[in-house]
Amino acid sequence: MQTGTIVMMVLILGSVWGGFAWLLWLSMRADAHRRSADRDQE
Amino acid sequence: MTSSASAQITKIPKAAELFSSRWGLLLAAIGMAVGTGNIWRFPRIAAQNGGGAFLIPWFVFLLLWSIPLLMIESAMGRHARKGTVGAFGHIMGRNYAWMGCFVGFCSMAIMFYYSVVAGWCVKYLLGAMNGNLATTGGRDYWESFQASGWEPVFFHLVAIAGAGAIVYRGVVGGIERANKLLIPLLFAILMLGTVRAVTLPGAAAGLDFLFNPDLSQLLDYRIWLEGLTQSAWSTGAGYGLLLTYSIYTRKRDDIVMNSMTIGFGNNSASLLAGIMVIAAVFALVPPEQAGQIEEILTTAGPGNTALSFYWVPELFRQMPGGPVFLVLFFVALVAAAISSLIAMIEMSTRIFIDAGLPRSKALFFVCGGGFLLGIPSALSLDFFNNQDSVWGVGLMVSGFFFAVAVRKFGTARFRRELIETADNDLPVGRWFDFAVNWLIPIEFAVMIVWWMSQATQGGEDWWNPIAVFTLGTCLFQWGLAIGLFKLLNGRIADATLGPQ
Repeated sequence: MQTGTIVMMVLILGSVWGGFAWLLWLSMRADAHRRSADRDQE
Repeated sequence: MTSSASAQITKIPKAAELFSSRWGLLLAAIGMAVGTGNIWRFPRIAAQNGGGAFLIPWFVFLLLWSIPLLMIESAMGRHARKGTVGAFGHIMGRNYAWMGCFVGFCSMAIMFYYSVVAGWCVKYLLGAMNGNLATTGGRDYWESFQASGWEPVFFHLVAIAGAGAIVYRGVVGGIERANKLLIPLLFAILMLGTVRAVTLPGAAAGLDFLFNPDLSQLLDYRIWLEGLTQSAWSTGAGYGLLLTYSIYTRKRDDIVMNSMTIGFGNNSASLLAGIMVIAAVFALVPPEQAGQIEEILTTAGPGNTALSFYWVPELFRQMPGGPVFLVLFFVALVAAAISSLIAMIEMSTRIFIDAGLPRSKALFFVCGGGFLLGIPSALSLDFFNNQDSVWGVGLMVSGFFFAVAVRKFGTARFRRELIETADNDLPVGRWFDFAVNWLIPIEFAVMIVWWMSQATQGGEDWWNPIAVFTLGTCLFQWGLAIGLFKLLNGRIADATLGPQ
């Protein structure tokens, strides 16, 4: 595999897959916080 | 009518009609965005446009076209609590309901033939399961399927009836539940297929082809335009589909984070499919036919399907465990097609619900009309290609209409009042204003001028309104739709927004 391929895979896959995983994690964390805040209010 | 004046007609759906969680909304919206185009169009367009170099503009336009438009759609749907027609009338005033009609009709017209595509996928899945596809070969299987005449119509009916049955069960019981099954299944298959493909001997050459960039190609404007159009078509930005799903979101859902997650999720699926297909092609094409690889990867075929319907069956049957992976590949295609078709049916149904029809009647009308109006595409690939080209490009106009709506409302006001709510987890800065006021209109103008210049160079009959791929046929059909909707604007606005 060529060096350019490895660099590009790290950049693109890191940005797109890494970004997607990070956003999913943030979403789920925010959702969990809200649910627990709702339960506390109840 | 301004937003504040019309706020009183906004009717928030009952809690039972809202997506039950953010996870449910995200899966449904990713299902809307990830369609068959991610699996069969992205690998071909990436291969045609320089692989690694193409991925740069494709990613840039995710941020500069698709995500801002997804945010606009989310905000309009959640604010207006109506489909495309009502949302445009609500945000821009009732005189502009015709714009929402055009956006809705574009996606509805796509639904007519997309159901045909979903039917093709179902047919191929059955062929993969009973072994006929592997024994006949992809090309012959396609030709006998098309020659039968009735089969494409029958499978079109199966697809639209199946997706309609899911929508009939409602947002939570139908759309959300189906996507909670389909989307994890789709991603699991794509990941499994990708791991299998990259571990085949010779797959590294495919990865080099897809990722190794020739940066000088970035000086070619066509790569940027292809990156923009692929991003626009693939994410579903400007279709009005996310607008419709957003009717059923909670007031506190974070539009910024959701839109970004949908965009990144869609592109993640495209990359998985690209790696899987291109690595498999490089690994499985016999060395004596290596000269054919470029043809395999770049031939569009009927409805862009050549790679999936001709070559994947040919290549997969040569690898160990091939029949199993062939079935999984077509399960993924069916999941992608049905999850997008569901969104198109719901968008169309919602427009008629807003106009006063009960849900079941609206759905029956949409599915029945969709079946009848899809029959010409099922019977004639020329008709199919014409509709694909006319309404596919029409989506660019739809995207532009969304930016126009926000500008009319006031971009900064739209951002402050409809997007940046107190519950946001991610902030949206003023870049949104810049993207909506400048970037999207400029991107639209460049894209349309480029497309028109290409279309006028395509032959002497570029003006012909009844040819398959001409500028004339696009302008004629768009003009007919816009003219009709403008003419009926008053009645449409009365039915959707209530009498003036």
